[in-house]
Amino acid sequence: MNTAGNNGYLYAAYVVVWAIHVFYFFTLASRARRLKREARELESSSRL
Amino acid sequence: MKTLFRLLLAVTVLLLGYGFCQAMYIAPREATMGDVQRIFYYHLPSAWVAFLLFFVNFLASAWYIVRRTDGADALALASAEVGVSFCTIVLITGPIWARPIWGIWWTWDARLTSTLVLWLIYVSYLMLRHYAAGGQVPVLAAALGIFGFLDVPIVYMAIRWFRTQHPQPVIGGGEGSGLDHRMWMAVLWNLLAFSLLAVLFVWTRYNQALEERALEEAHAQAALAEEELR
Repeated sequence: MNTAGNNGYLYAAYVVVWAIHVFYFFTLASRARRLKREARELESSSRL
Repeated sequence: MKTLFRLLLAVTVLLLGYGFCQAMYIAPREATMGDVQRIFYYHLPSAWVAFLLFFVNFLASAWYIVRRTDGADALALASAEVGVSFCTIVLITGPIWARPIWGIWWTWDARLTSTLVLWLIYVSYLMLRHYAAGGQVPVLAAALGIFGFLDVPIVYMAIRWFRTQHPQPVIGGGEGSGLDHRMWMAVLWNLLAFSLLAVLFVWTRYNQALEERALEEAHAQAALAEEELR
């Protein structure tokens, strides 16, 4: 088995793992921003 | 609470870094497969964390059915969402590891197929939560969460019950199973790091789910007040 030639698979797997975690982190961050904006809008509309 | 979250975040980042070093540099090179076997140090902990999160979803769903509390529903949603993200990692890293070792990306053996079914169950759970409307959605989702969890023991036992392409278990797999001590350490450090990461994700998503609910109620009340003014 050409084990050294398989390192590309190892790096690909690690990149995928981190990409999924980072993607989920940004999903949470974007939802947090949306919720904050909605809360602000609701507050300003209730003042009117 | 914010201080605890930040402290946990700092510890998790450190552990993720240390887990990476353990997996890439400290754990010994596997004799047959070579370095590609190091995928195992992310693949196995991700699977265990996904199972744990689906178990949390099962408990929270059962709690919601009995008590109908918003907190249980929010926890069920958060654990399912984060569980799907970890299960996705398992389903992608598995084939990437399989290709150089088995010569194929995928095979329809019991372990792989039951894991795919598990992922589909929880993706359908999230789709139900996202797209369906009406007051009964949390109850339907809780029922799906309770019955969906039945697949977790099937996934876990699949390599014991059936003859599979997937390797035999490293714990209690009989004679010849088990790992080198340093390999175990790499698994355990990454398991700890991924578990803490999952706690942070669930914590954040849980708060967001409660906030979403509060906003929905506030919107409904504002609409009612507007209607009364007219």
